[in-house]
Order: sequence, then C-alpha cells, then structure tokens
Amino acid sequence: MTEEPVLSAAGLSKSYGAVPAVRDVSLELYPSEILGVVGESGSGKTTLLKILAGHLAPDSGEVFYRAAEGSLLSLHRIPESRRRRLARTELGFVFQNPEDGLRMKISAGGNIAERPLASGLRSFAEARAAALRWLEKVELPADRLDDRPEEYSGGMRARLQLAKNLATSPRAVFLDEPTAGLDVSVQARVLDLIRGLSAEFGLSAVLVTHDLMAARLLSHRLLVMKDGRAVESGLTDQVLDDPQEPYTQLLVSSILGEA
Amino acid sequence: MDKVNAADAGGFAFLGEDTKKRVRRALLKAVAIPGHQVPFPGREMPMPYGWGTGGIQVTASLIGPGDVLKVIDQGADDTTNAVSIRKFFRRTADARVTERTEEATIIQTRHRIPETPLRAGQIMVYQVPIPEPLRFLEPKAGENLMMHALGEYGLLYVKLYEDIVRHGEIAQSYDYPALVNGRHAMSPSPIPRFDNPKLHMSEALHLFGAGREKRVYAVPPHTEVKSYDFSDYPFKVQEWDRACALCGSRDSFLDEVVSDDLGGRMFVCSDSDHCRRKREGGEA
Amino acid sequence: MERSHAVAAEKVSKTFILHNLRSRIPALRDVSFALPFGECLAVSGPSGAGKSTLLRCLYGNCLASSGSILVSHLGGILDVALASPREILALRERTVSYVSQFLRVIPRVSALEIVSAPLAKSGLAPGEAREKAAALLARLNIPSRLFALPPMTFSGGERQRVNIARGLVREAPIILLDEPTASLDRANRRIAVDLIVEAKGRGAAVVGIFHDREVQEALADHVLELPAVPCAEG
Repeated sequence: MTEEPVLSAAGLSKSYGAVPAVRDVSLELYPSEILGVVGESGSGKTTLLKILAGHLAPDSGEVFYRAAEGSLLSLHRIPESRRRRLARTELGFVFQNPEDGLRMKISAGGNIAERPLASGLRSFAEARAAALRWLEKVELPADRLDDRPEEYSGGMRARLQLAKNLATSPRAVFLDEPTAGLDVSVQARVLDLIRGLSAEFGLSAVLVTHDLMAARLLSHRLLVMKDGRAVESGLTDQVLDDPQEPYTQLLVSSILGEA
Repeated sequence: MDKVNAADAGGFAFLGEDTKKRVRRALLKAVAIPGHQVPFPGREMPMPYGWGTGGIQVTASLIGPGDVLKVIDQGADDTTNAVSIRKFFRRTADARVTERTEEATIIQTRHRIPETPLRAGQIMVYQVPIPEPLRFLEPKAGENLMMHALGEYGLLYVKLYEDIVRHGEIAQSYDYPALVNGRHAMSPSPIPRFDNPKLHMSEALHLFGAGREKRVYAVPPHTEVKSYDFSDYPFKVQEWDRACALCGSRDSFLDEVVSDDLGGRMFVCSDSDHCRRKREGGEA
Repeated sequence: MERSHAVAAEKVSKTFILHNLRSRIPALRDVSFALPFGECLAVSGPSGAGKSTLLRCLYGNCLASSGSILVSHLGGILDVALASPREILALRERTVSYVSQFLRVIPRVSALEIVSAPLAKSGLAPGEAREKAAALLARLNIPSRLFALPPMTFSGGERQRVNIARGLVREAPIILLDEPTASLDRANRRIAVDLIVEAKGRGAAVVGIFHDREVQEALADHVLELPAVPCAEG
C-alpha cells in the first residue's frame, strides 16, 4: 500500500469554550475510499467533519490535503482564498439539511451550475448542459431543472444537493448525515446513489452518520467516535461484526444501531 | 425642507465641515479602489431615505462656489425630486444650477447618465438605493464582504443564468452588474443597462452614494467597466424600433409616456435636455 | 510457510470479549493448518466449535486474538492477523473470495450487477464482466428475467446461488466457503460442487464448511476437525 492519502489529519482537537468537541483525532482518507464516522449525537462527528472540510479551524492539529495538481496543502494554513476555492472545486460538503447547502430561491439548474460558473465557465449553454447532466445523474427528472428547491420534496433536495456538489467533479466529499430525515425507501436510494457515484468517479468521501446500516453499505473503513475521541477504527465489517471496544459493542448491539 | 437653512445645519451646503471632510475621505478611498464600497459616516438629512440622501451628501461634500449643478430624475430636470434637490442646494450653497449637461460641473442623478457625452472635469453623483450587487443571491453581509475581498463573483453568473432560464434572455434592464477595473463587481444603481457602456473609459468621475446603507463607491475617469455576460448571451443595450416622437432621435433611451387623456402612448427621449436641444438646434 | 502453500494458520486463537456482559467467549484455541494451492480443506466439528469464526478470521472480518494467518498474496506473504484494514481490502479484492451463508442484499442493486462487480473491480471491461456474470448465473439456473432485479425479492435458494456466483465469478486464488450449498436443492448443489471442483482444478485453495457429507466428500482433500471449545470463562 504505497498509495498516498487524499486527506490526512493529525491530532485534531477543538473545544467550544470549556467543552471539548473533538479530542486528538487522527485519520487518513485514501483515493476512492469512503470513510464512515459513526457515533451518537454529541460525539463530535459533525465538528470533526467541518474541520476536515476546512470549514472550521481546529484548536490544535492539522489537516493535510493532496491537491489535484499534486502539492500537499495544510488545509487550515493556506490562505482563505485558496481554501474557499478548493471548497467550491475539489472538495464538496453535503449538509444534513439540504436547505443549508442549496439556494432555495434559485432554480435547481442554477444551483448545480453555481460551482462550474464560479470556476470560470462562461457559456450559458454549457452551464445548462452540465446542470442537466448532473440532475439526471442523481435521478431527478429533467423537467424539474427549472424548478426551485423550495418546490422539491426532501428526498429530491438531498439528491439535488449531491448534484450541486458533484458538478465540479470534486476529489473528496464530506457528507453530514446525508439521509437523516428521509423516508426509509428514499434513504436507500440516496445511499445507493452515493455508492454508485463514488465508484463511478473514484470519489473519496467522509460519511458522518448515526445509521450503522448506511455506514455498512457505503463505507470501506469506519471510525467510531465517543465524547470527541476516536475510540475504535478499522475495516467496516470487522468493526461492526467483531467490535473490540466496550462503547462500540454497545453501539452495535443497541436496537437503534442494528446493522 | 423649507424650514432648513444653512445656518441651522451648520455650514455651506447644509453639512458641517467635519462631516464633509469625512465623506471626502471616504470618496478619496473609493476613487483609489474603483468599484469598492467604502463605508462613510452618513448623517440624517432633512428628507427621508429614498429621496437621494446618499447622493445629496456626496454632492454637499464636493460642491463649491464655482460649481454648476444639474440634477436629473428619470432623465428629466423638471421632476419633483430633481426640482427639490436643486432648490435645496440653491438655498444651502447658493449654487448655480443648469439643465444643460455640458455646462454642469456636478450632475446628480438617480436613473440616467445624460446622452450628451461627459467631459473631463465633470462629476456624476448617483443616488443609490442598494449598493450590494451580490445581495440578491447571498443575503449574509459578512459573506458579501468576503466575496468582494476575494473577488468571488461566480454568483453573478448564476443570476444571469436564472434570468435566461426565466425570460429566455438576460432580462435585467436596470442596475445591471459590472466589473470595475477588472477587480470589483459593482451595482451601478438603477440606471438602465443602456447607460452601462457610458461608464466604460468615461472622461468624467462617477461617484455613487447610498444613504441608507452609508456606503460610497466610485468609477474614476478612464476606468474599465465591463458588464457581466455569457459568451453565448453577450451584453446588449436596449434598442427601440422607433425614434423619439418629439425630436426624432434614434440613438437615445426612450420612455413610453401617456400622451393624452384617451390613453394614447408615445415614445420620447428620457433625457429631457438632450431632447429639447435636438428639437431646438439639431445639435445635442 | 512453504511456497506451494496458499494459507498457513499457526496457533490461531480467538476469544470474544463482551465488555458490557462482562464475559469472555472462547471460540478458537490454537488452530493450525497449512493448505497448498489446488486443494480443499474442510473445516468440521460440532456446532459452536468456531468453524465460521475461523473462516471470518481468515477473511479479516474477525480479529484473531493470537497466532498468525499467513496468506500468499500478490507474490508475497501477508499475515491477516496483523494486516491493516487497507491491506485486508486489497487482499479481498485480489486474493481471497468469500461465500457467506447468506447474501447481504444491497437495495436497488441487480443480481447481474452484484455478480459482475468483483470482475469490474479487478479491471475487466464492464460489458465483458456482465457477460461472464450472466453466463455463471445461467449455469446456476437463475432465470435470465431475474438478472436485472435486486435479489431482495428472490427465493432463499436463488439468493444463495447469486451469492455463490458472486464468490466464484472471479478466479480468486483462495476461496472461503461457509455452508454454501445449505439451502440448495440436489440439482443446484451438484452444479455448485462442479464449480468448486473447477476452481480447484485451476489451482484455487478452498477452505470450506460443508454441512452436507456428500459435498464434503466430493471436495475435501483434508479435514480439520475442531473440538468443542470449553464454555465461557468468567
């Protein structure tokens, strides 16, 4: 295994006031890999995700990102302009509430076209073609291209948010509970989409979820968080089928976490 | 407004010297960074926001005894708003006023840039309601600042995209965003997009004042002003398939006006000075 | 480990420690074997002797508590007991194939896609992968009208045949079988056995648990008898 990680983090810690949210977490994300981060709410999963994505600076520790052009960047030390440019081109972030990741009053097509347009695309016809292509990739009907997300159902918004993020063919996507609040049947569809898109485009992803079924279906490796710490990590099926830590055993055996 | 006089407000052209100094300082900064919005310590004016308080404060800070002021509203010198602003400066600064574009040293405007080409030494002062070109898409002010700071203007293309999707063309006809000096996106106040090309490499200095939001910005002379567009939907000014019903002009901005009590309509120049002089002498 | 060996286990032990129940469940104790390529080892023993646990340890699904599990992998030797998660992933992708007792169905993924996925992953062109997968499904008597459907709705036997197809479609050097023929009728069991014999014929090492004596006799070159493990300690 000489392959280099797309993203690596060392010794990440972050507190909100006196309350520690993430404590000394290190991890690596490899090309085409989906890394699941599981744990109950308040375990620091989402804070960790925001730090990894460059949205939130850690109190200590560093996140390294291997850019498409080859250089290794310390995500929280590069200038803000560079970080923001990466965030709208090579990286993606899928919010738990699609409303946070979409512009609700802009058409679906406009939402999808935003990142390509921000990256220098200057042809309306091409922007529209790209929007349509990605709309169809996430299995949304072509005739909804000009509708606003506020006219979409929850499941459709979730898929639209995926399309919006994927339109610049990012190398790593950060997913925060992408199926929370969706009907079970819709959840399966969204999960399968993520799985398929990741395989098709060699996309790396960090998937934060409290749904162990989703984690098992999608992720290659798993990180278990408790009180801000990574208490266990390993191959997904090994962690779920032969958990070593008391907390993981509890999580796996709880009815809510049934996988 | 009638109750106000120079003595009450503390100085020539109503504003106190300190206030004017502060506004001028902001204006200097605005000129130094073309298109960049600069906060200024705007003060209460004896008229409500929406009546051009931003423009009036800019004019008040600049006007001197040697200046000749022209004020237009909807292109015309004789509308209520233009008349009362002229009156205000006659009263507070004893200003010389004119309706003739080439005579004016300062031209305060809300909706138009005169058809008569501007010359070096003239100052256009715009009354701006909403100075932020990104607000329509991103309502968070802090994020707007960041986007300007980093030159992240992709969102303006999203707005054009939406326009074409909804209307089949770029429908925005007023306040059409432009990139100034290749660096800052600017909202050129509610002038028609017809007037945008007049800002590009203009001989005159253009100053924009937003009273409610207390911001000024500027387009100095000989500055590049490029209207946003797509390669396949290039920027175009409005065109009319008819001439002005009064002066016969074919290259000026036309307004549709009701011409009689029977609901008859006609198209006439929005720039009343231009139209009148065309009728008087043919030369505008 | 000898060069001709595919797998060599040495003193493999596994104890499940259930922290929240304060109990330790021994599952394997000092299991050793060595298996050459082209041969089949049947793991036998009473229920609860740890047969499935042994297979799971070989596949990296279960962490051995002690001992080593050496596997011939990509021209070298990998100790599964010590391998990193990513090494295990590569091992599964390139060397070891596993047919579990039950197919874990993924919603919305068709039978054909499930079976062709391991081929596509190993670099075969998608069209070719699908063709090969379809041929194998047909051989296992899955009607072609079912190819495009997710196996969620299939009968138990059909599902298990899809599972066998997935495990055998790629010519993996090492194949792990956990009661693969348990839910099959006689005719289909025959076909599964033929497929496994063919795999051995091309040099695959097979470690299997076979509930059916006939199947075991047809396939096994060696039998590893696991003793019943003493009950839970403290």
